[in-house]
Amino acid sequence: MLLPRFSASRWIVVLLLSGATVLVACGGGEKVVEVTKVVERPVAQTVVVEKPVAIEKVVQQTVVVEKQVEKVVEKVVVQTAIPQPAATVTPLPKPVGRFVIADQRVIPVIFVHALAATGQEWKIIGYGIAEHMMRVDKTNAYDPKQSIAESFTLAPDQSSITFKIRKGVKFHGGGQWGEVTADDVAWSFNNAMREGSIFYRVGSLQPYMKGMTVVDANTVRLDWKPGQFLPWWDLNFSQVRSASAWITSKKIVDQLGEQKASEMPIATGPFEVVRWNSGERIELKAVVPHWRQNAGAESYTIIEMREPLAMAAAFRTGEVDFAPLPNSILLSTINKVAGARRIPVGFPQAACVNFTGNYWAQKDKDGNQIFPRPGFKPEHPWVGDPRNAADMEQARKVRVALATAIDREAILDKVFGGLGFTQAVEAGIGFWPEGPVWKKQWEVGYDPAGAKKLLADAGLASGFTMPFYVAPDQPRINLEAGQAVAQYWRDIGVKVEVDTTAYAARRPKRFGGVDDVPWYHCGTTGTNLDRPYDGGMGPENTFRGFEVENDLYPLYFDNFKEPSRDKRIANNVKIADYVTKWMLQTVFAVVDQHIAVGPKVESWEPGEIDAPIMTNVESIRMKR
Amino acid sequence: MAKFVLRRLVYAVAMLVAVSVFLFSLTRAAGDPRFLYLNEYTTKEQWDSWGKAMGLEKPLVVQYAVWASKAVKGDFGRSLRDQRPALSVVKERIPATLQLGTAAFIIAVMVAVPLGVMSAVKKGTGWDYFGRTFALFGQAMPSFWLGLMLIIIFAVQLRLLPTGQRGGPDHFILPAITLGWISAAGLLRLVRSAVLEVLDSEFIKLARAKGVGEREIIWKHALKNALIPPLTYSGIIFAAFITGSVVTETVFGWPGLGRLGIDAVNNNDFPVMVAVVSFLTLIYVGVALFVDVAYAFVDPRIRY
Amino acid sequence: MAERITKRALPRAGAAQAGAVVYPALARRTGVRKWWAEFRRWPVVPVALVVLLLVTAVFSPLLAPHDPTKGSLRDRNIPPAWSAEGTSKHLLGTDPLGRDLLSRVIYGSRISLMVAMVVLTLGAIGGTTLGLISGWFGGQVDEVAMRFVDFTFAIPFILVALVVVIVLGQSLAVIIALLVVFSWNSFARQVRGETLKLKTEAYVDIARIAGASTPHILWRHLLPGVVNTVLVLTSLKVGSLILTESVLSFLGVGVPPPTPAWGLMVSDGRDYIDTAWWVTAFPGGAILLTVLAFNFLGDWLRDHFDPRLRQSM
Repeated sequence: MLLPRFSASRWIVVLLLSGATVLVACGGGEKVVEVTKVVERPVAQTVVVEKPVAIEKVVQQTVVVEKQVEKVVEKVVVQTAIPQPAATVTPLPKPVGRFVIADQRVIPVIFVHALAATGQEWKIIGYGIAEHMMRVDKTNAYDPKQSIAESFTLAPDQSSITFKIRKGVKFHGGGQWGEVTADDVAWSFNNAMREGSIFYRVGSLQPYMKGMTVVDANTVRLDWKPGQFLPWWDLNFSQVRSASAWITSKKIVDQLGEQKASEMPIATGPFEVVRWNSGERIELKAVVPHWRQNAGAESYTIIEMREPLAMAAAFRTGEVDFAPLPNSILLSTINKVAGARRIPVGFPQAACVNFTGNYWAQKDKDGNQIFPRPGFKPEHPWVGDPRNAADMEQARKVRVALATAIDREAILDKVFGGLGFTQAVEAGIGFWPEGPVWKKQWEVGYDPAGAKKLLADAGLASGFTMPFYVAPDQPRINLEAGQAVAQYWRDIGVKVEVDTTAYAARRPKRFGGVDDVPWYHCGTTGTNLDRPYDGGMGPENTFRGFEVENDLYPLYFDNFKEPSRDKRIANNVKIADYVTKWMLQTVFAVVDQHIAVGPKVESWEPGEIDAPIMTNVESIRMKR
Repeated sequence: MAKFVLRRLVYAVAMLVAVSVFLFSLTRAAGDPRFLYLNEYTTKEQWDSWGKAMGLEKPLVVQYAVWASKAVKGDFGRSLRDQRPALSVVKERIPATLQLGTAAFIIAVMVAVPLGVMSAVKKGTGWDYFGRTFALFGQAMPSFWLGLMLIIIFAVQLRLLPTGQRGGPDHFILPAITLGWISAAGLLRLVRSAVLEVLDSEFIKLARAKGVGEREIIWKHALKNALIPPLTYSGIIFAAFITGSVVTETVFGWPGLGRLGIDAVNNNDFPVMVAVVSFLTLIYVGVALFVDVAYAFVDPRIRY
Repeated sequence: MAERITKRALPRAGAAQAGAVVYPALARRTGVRKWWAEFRRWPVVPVALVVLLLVTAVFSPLLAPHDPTKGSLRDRNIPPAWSAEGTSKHLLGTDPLGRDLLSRVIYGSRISLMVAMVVLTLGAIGGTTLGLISGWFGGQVDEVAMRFVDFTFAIPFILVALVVVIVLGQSLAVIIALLVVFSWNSFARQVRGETLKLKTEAYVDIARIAGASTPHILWRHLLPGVVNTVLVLTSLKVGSLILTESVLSFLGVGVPPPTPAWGLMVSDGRDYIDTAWWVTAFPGGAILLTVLAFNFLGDWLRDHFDPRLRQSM
């Protein structure tokens, strides 16, 4: 052997020493991030915001937006928008610096709409890669200067809208894919709505729109299905809603076919994709000059991090600048990093329990008799039989008992870090205590003794068994909160069997009323008061797992057509009255979503969106 | 020898078929793949049209036959989530998994073999206790706990290493340790007992009696014979690294096959799941075959 | 030194051959003193730990100060009693749902022990039977059986476990069934190997010539021979079973909550490793001690019965 004749123990020492040297060498030298030991002590500036203040913030938002929404509606009906001069946005200083965003799931590259169904496609807009056809400003009014559609004309009978497409909006890719034309816009929408499309928002498009037609090189016309005009369509087509198709190039699909084109993330946003590794990371660089707004940073990376603790660790070491940490460790992590703060994104999310199985609709939309549904099992204590008033009352008592057994304050405080509030109606609209529309009778208190008594009244003093589904892998569902709710039920004598199987595998079934397992759902709230009650609650829409009585269901459809705003709000109030009276569902926490922002970030102005994600990344500026 | 290899290959293919049938029936019984696309805005018409596109009204056997006929040609179907060929989704993840497995393997061997030998040679002393304690700890810690602890200590507190993700050499260290420690522990024990066994044997005693130096005894005579059982085991642990890295990958955000497999199961993404399982089974069978053949070379007593 | 007895006239089943040392001096002691001398050679600490585990598991209701499944969210993450914010009501603190940690760790021993015992008993019985039959009959039977065992080794257990739990639902019974299926294969392989070796022993031939039936041979002659192997394997596998349970919990398909199982507790508390260290430290420590104890015991048993087994286990 050519090796020195060391004894075995000497060899061990040599190996270990060399190993240690290698370790130190790799760990020490090349790091760009400063290895200074940041003293971790609580920083005065990040004070835990007391609840009253937080709610106040929300109230302000509500009030401001409220007024502006009214204005928008009036405009649409009366006028057509006038073409504005080409974008004259004052460009920001040249992009400088880079940042890193942590994400729980980096979605795969699926750019052809008909194939895009991960359910998180809104990230493509939020991350600044693609753009919707229109843009609204901070007051939710159409901003022609910032929109790809530089003007529009609504037909007097509301059967169609004609858009003028701005010239000079370049696609990514160095110019080989040219500029946005009417072809591209029309194709984007029609593809999303085509037969067999699994586009994640096809349900927001296909039922209402016939399709887009190309009128000339820069003009498209959108035709509505008869009687299906949506009064808030402009918001839907803008960056604050996910209910639209982003604009991509038809040329790419023509040349490469749908499959290959889908793997090419070419669009029009302020950031261009350099590398996209599904499930791992996305690397992007700023498009300079951009037709709308130059980004504030030169480039950025999105990294997938599933473990909350690992994400918190990366935030603490400075490897990550933006971290969507769960509220339970958000505050403690921020306190450990000097100069870190939290910024709210999106609307508060309403966590609720749906008492599945209460299928009370007799007929469907076409008048067919559908009662009783396969999943209708009145022997479940929480399910009421509409044929029997006593049974309905008994089941109602059970549901009310379950609702009042939950200590909402404790859940909000302990699990969600106190960031949010405890009462709301889960409908995608702004029915909450500090809002302009709220009824005392919608509030649910905490009364375990009363709950036990109610159960006894209902003849269930010895308790009963109840399954409860809590999805483990959905971004807004919090496992701890679900377990806490189950625990509160156990405290009043209910034997709860929590099921935490993966969402796609176990998720409550949607059609045909077959499901009978109560489940933890998290819906968005919003600042509208007059939109249709999210998800309806009838045979066409059994998403939540219950169906309201037939007299009530038309109110949902009315709100798509009813011209009077007050009437629409009144309809929603009626539905909310019904749902809360019968306690078909109960909200147990309304959670503000936050992003932890690191000390190297100078500023960021998130925009509104109906999903708790990052938006307006082009406004991020890093410290120099 | 050739007949042996051929038999093993045939057997491997048979196993792949068996595994795929098994999984196919399980998953179709488990869930409707359309749930992956479902959200609160989906309508019934869309639901039905997806079902038709996926051929879901046909009986299970027909669905399997359709799938199998394509799989034989290498077409594992299209990932329901990624919307591109399942095989390419899997292929992308292979390098990351192989690299991590190799790194873990190197660390495991580099630590376990010397420590195991030391532990055996210096039986009863501090070295021995250190080695055995190291081994026992490795086999008693949940790997996700170990991984997170390593991140906290080495990345956050000491700022020595990155917190995760795939990257340069320093990104490999913590994940490889997390993945490798448990197997290093088993390997160490095996090396230790094998060396102990050999040191006790007749021909070593003969060599000692002849006056051969201790060092030469250990490294030249003892080790060669002692390493046969550990050789088998190390083949198994390499295969285990490839197939069992899901925890490490999740904690460190490593884009490997383990996580892909779990995600595929959770998403009812059957094409990807079967592709992953097929590949993992292939690796396992391949490694087992390699080990058997290597065994035959090393130990002249074995003949096929 | 006393003379080494390396072989006996009629080898008893399971007796070690060359390499085992018998101390003749021992043979002269009688009764209790012999027993005491024998006992002193046992590894005291591991045995004590195992006994402690058994006692804790059996007497959990008496030992645990609180109900392990009940707690109030307002008592969330209280540190152990000896820290500043601790309270004597919860000696080891509370978990993220406000449940007493000490009680959960105590009751967790029940679950861990019960699962381990059930799984290993069933696995051992099934695996041993298959191993004996396969090794004894050889030929086609052996081929088929061993190919089947290889099949179970090759399947990625975690993925299959996930699918099965999705199909059958998450329950203790399903988890136990899964673990049984995937642990009997080690027993089968090991016992088969032992059987192949023992098959060639003289006393087996004698029994066969004497006209004993196959079941009789398997039961009376071979089984005692493999029992030691099975025992060693069982104690060595306790550790890996507990760890497998914790990995399954990490993936969301372990023991269904709110059942207190150590692996589930460590997994549930993993977001708080650096902010509420006690939530994972105590159940993790329990796992560590239990696995250490059983592994030490297993090692000792193996060395005691037949050190040559070291090469295969």
